[in-house]
Amino acid sequence: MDAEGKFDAIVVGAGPAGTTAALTMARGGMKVALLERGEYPGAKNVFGGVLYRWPLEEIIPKFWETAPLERQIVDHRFMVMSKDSGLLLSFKVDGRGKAPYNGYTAIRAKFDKWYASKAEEAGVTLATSAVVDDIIMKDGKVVGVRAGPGIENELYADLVIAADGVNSGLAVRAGLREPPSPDQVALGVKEVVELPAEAIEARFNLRKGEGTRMETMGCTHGKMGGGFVYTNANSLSVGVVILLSHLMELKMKPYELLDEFKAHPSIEPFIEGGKAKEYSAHLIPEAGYKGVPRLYRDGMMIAGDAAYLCSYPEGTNLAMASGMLAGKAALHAKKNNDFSAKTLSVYHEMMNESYVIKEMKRKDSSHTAMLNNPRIFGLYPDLINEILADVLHVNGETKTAKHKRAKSKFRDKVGLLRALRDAYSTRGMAP
Amino acid sequence: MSSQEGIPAERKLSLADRLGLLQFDVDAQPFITVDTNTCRSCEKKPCLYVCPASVYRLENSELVYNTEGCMEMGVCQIVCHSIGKAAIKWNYPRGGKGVTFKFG
Repeated sequence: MDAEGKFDAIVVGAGPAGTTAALTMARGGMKVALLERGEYPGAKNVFGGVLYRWPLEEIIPKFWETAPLERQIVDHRFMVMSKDSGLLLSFKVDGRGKAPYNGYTAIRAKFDKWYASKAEEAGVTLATSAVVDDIIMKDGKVVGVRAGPGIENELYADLVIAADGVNSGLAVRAGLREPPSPDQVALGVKEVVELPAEAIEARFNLRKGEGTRMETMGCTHGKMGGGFVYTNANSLSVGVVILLSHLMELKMKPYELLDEFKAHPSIEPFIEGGKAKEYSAHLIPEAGYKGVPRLYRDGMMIAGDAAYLCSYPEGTNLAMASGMLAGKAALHAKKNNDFSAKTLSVYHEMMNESYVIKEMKRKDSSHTAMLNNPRIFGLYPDLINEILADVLHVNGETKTAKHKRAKSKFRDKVGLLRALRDAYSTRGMAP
Repeated sequence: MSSQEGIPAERKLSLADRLGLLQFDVDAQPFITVDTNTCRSCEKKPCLYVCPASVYRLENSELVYNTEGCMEMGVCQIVCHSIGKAAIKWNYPRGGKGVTFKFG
């Protein structure tokens, strides 16, 4: 703040991107206001996922010793489902005495609150229950934000960082991007199901404190999307995600997909006897690299979901990485006392050199191929399950006859060339 | 409307069950406004099926909506402007109002 009480920077949104940006700037000596519309940071935030150690470890070394985390992920599961069966693949590492771990499950209401408190400790001024309605422009430059009608709700700063989530009204008002279109976002619905820790560990074959992340495909009626089960300390996060434009074609209610998923014979035993504690829904950026908008303009940068920096199955880590680079760009601008687009373009340059953009670029063509290929999420999962059900079923008919039938099914429904082409075109989505 | 104890998870939950698990501080000021006259000429009405809280319903073939239950994802506005008649104007509720997730 200068003599007039002005902040150097205003960050909108205390999620992983905003809090990281605020923390980075405050540590570099900038006066930062962090505005959050929820009653507390995390109150409006939802994810079905894993917090990876990178890049959080760079921001808060040994965060796993103090952060509210649920379970360390040692087991990655992928399931290819049909309506009434599932083929499960589990990759499990030896987690014994291997801390720190690569990733952890978390409850966002707890984690985001804790993370924002770290920013406060670094000197950030956090204001909750604060909705920002608009940016304030002067001579083509962003100079502040408006949090309601009247001059008393205007807040000025040299820089505004919009980390206001996937809808990012601020990025739209700043002309950096358009509101999401239905093929740029996926809709997720989820339930948190409470279960005793021992039951979770027994059902997933885990040691104390260890966790599983499970992703499934074949539960979205052939549309782009999938299901998930994540193990928390005393609960499971169970949900379904589907591309919005595909949901519009399907004309199903999102929670009907969740009902089907929960009732699936391969999922129901995990949640049996548990108590549903929360239902939630969220929009997830699914725009690929080609959807990433311009990240800056005079007096403003955008980070995290607001910039569509999300790429299945990663999101919070990409948000933090972009928040950190936005923060570094801000410190560079502060040092030069110049917050023009020209100076802030260093953010764009650093992002291009980062894991975030490199990974999104690598996946981009596969992402498009998947989006437009109805076989991936319907035909293949069904066919794999159908063939396995037939081949594994012992009934006196020879395996030779069953294998022959499997081959002809595969040939009739897909064909080797097409299968190879599909595999090649979506290779970037491999884990 | 809060079910703190939770509901047996293997049961098929109704939407009312699900929304009952959530904490809402209802914003008396409308944060969603719909020009329901325009909706009469909308054939597709995608808002009726995409909303995870079924905020939008038909009553005597008229579109009605109840913002209590809104999880503030803005999907209604996206679909309405995409294949509907751009009748929905969605915004965030005022600060601290609306839904609060305890887990997320």
